[in-house]
Amino acid sequence: MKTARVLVLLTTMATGLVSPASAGSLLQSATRLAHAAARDLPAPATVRAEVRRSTAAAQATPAESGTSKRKKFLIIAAALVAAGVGMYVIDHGVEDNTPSTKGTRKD
Amino acid sequence: MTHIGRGRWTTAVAAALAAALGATTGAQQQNGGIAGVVRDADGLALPGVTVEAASPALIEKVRTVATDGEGRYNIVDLRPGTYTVTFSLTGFSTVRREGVELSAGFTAPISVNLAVGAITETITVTGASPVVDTQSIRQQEVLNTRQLEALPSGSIGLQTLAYVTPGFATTQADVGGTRDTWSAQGAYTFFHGKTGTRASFDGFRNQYFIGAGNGVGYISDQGTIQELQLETSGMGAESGSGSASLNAIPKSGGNLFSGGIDGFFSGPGMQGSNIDDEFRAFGINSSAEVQKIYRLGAQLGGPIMKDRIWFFAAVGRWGSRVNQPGAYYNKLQGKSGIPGTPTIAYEPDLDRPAASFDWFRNHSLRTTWQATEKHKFAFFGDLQKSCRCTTGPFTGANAIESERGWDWWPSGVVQGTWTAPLTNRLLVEAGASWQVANWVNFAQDGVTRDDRSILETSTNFRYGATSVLTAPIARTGRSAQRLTASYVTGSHNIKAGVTLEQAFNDESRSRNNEVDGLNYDFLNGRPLRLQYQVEPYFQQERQNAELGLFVQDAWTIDRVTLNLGIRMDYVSMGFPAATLAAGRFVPERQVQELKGVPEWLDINPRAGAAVDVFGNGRTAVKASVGRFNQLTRSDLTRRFHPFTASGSTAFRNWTDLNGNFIPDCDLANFASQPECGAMSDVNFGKFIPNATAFDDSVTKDNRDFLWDINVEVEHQIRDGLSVNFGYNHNWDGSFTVLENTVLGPESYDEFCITVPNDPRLPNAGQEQCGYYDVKTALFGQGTRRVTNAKEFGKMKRYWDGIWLGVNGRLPKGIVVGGGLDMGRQVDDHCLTVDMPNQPNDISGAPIRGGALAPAANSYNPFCRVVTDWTNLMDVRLRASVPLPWQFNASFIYRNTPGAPEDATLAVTSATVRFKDPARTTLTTAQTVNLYAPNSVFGDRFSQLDVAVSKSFTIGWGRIRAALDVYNALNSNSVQSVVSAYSTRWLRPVGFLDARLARLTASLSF
Repeated sequence: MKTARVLVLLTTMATGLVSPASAGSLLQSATRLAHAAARDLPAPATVRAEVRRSTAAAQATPAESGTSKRKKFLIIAAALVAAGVGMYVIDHGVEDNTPSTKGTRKD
Repeated sequence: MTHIGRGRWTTAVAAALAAALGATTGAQQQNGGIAGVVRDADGLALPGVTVEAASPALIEKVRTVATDGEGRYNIVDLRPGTYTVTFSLTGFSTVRREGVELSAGFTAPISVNLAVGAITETITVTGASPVVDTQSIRQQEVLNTRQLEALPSGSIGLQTLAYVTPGFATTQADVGGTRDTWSAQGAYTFFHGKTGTRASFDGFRNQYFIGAGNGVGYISDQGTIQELQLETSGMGAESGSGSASLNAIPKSGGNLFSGGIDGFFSGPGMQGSNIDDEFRAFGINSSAEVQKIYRLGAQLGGPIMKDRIWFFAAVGRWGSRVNQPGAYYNKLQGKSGIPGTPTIAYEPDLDRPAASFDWFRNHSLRTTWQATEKHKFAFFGDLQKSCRCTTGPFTGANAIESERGWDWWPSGVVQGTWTAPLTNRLLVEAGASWQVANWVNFAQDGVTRDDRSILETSTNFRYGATSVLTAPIARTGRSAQRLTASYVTGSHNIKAGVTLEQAFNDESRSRNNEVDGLNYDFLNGRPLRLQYQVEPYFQQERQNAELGLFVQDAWTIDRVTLNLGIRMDYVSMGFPAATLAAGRFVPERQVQELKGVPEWLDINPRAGAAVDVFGNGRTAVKASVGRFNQLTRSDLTRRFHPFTASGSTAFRNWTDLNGNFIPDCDLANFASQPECGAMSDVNFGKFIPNATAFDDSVTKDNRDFLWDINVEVEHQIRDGLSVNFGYNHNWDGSFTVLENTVLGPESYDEFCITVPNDPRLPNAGQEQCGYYDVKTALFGQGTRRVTNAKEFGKMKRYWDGIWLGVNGRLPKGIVVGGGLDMGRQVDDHCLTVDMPNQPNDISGAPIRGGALAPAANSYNPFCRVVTDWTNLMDVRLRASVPLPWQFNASFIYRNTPGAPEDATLAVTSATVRFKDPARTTLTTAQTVNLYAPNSVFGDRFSQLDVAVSKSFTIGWGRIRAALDVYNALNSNSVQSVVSAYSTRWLRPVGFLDARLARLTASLSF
């Protein structure tokens, strides 16, 4: 039944908007057939989209990283400090002959 | 253009403001949306279904709407990201659609059927995200940070999208960051013949208010960018001036701490050489040599208070030093021994190669505050210091000493926005931005204030000093405010709003030589002309208001969405009161404050329709038509300003009788003397503001505009992959010309030249006529009038073009994009204002047509320029391919039109023949076109950039290392050549830099 519902969803989502029942299109007929199949027929072996059914009670909890928070914080902090040092080196190593740095701006 | 009288205008504004109280902001176009229909199992519409869109990208976590009577829903203003959409209704099973990816400006069509069941039962569906927007008529391209980083993108910025979008012309190629950031971010020129691309950061325009207004005043650092969005056609009424729009959408942090450190480096030894025998024949023995190109950036974002306050900080450093081919310091700098002109000639000092040199620093912080359930505020600030130390780009086309450095400090931006979904149908937003850039010029090393700028006219090569210094004051800024709101039902998305911008520009301008401020023109090393400029010179322009009022609706009827909108654009500019002291050649000058120069009011309708052809969200046919004004800019106000209008520059012929390179005449006496001819402008130095008059047809009416018609078919050929095909036609309206009030076609004498006997030239060796020179007695006479070109005839500029594009994902995670774009452009300015068939623009320069600026003193008997399909064909492709073991390969390939190969010839009295046998001399030496410009093109330009990267997932983060190879085929495609006919004719000036490797590394967490 689960897979039959998938079939219903696949049919309707793959065909997008379905015209009202009164329109009588081929597409609509196929959808109605799929609905009927959902009630009566076994599910096909393959599906185009992954479908999961769950209830509010069945909530998975997220997996946790193997690195402790403290260690992660220290690594990131060290990386950011290193980046800061790198920028300091760049700022003082690159030639800066701009008047604002040399103090010769007159504006 | 619809002209509205003032009384009616006031009423219209009041009515529009009233309507604006319920409309949406201009920023909304940069966010996405989700829309669709909810039905039951039998296909009947389900009203009252609760639809929730949730994403970590939303600080408010979730946005909720309900379906209307037709089962339709529409959630707007969603930040780019991945969303989960949940549909719930009592008595039905809840359906959750995961993995819906939204990019800027994209509305994902998500429609579902609900089956009867318990609401606690949830059916979760994951599948391919839609790729065809069946509601919007906008043609756009979007790339996010991950996509940009996976590609060999060079320096990521606004220009990156321009590089990968077929049909978007750029002024120069970038090979791994060899072009400085400033010129790169303003390097896009036109798309489908349309000039004036608007550039924005977070929806606020970030271009400076100088001249044409298309250079950026605020640099978007790649560390702050989440997505880049390019809109090229079908923009709605919310879009302001400009024919295309580039927008950088910023990162904003989240509930989890995240960030990264990134960097790249290229240096000596990481570059090949692409010089071949053809280049060596031109004396080019080396390509640009990278000394260093580097970047180091760090970003950190996260919660200050979870679900309440987020922050995102980014700091960056970037720089480059690239030796330019054939560029050297001047061995003779300061060594002439001639009093008053220490540098008189140029000789390359082969021991001192000259380099383009630039660096950039930014420091930004964004905070997002969900103050209450409904009210969200965001604040952003960025402080920048940078040095465009060699103008940009320095290519070696002129000597290094003729470049000027730009000292950008202080520069930056402060922005704030407020967003409030007051109900599930009413969304209100407001924002403000303030941006400033100080950009004072400075001279290059070794140049003293005695040096002069000298132009060798036979080769168009400048040396000695910069031709102008914008110093000691150079500052520009822009502020903007916006208030909009949306009223959204399932079928209607009504937006209305108001935007207001102000801008300023203050510029002092001087020549490098502090004594008399003269520049020189030489011909074959001998004095030819003296170029004057009034000094002191300080000018200010003000954009007092750029007001936009708009209302639009996206109305969905079954499978058709009508996009209808109308926009009122009002602009008022002027200048403040000012006084300038007397100078050597000019008296004291004074102006009073003036507003309304120009003052324009335009009504710009925008309309279109998008049809979901089969009702399945996979195929859309779109058509749009709209009227757009060109970018607001300061060039007209600048030209009108009395300090300029009275004539700020002029020249006189110089015959150096004794060969001492000193103009032996009274420079302040503008009458003809033995060595110095009469001044080219009889009003120079007199401060006559009315020397240039502006018609109301220019200042009060007829703002330049364009119409744009676009038709497109877009089809999803498989999950995640779409193709599109389209046609565009656009044309400019309202052209401005400069008329001399004394001159007319009868004031000119026709002359002929003998085309050089070069088989590469049409009519080689033959006489060619159709050139004109003003009669000697009328040289320098008259005053000027700026008026609309329609007074004299019909000028035209139009484009027809088609394109074919592909975008999306293939199996195994391969991402592709790109396409083919081709068109035909016609520039027809065959009307006579003064000189037959040669109108001038408001600066007095001849209108040349096409995308290139006209050469100084260039006269053109070829007034109709047609650039055909083959010469405008443009192919750009990109792909990113995941490989095993977390490797990834990617490429960007561009094949675009070759360099225009124009030919101009410097002629003198000795080399021309007047049709009137009584006349034998030109009023001054001239430069003429030997054939129509933009009609001959060189070999097509091609560039292939590739990248291979390896990622290492380390649990809490990811390390990525990449090797990029730019110009992997080591092409030396030419982008520009010397147009002056001489031994240097067709010598490549700008060509693709040699193959360059770059090491990139990043840590993200």
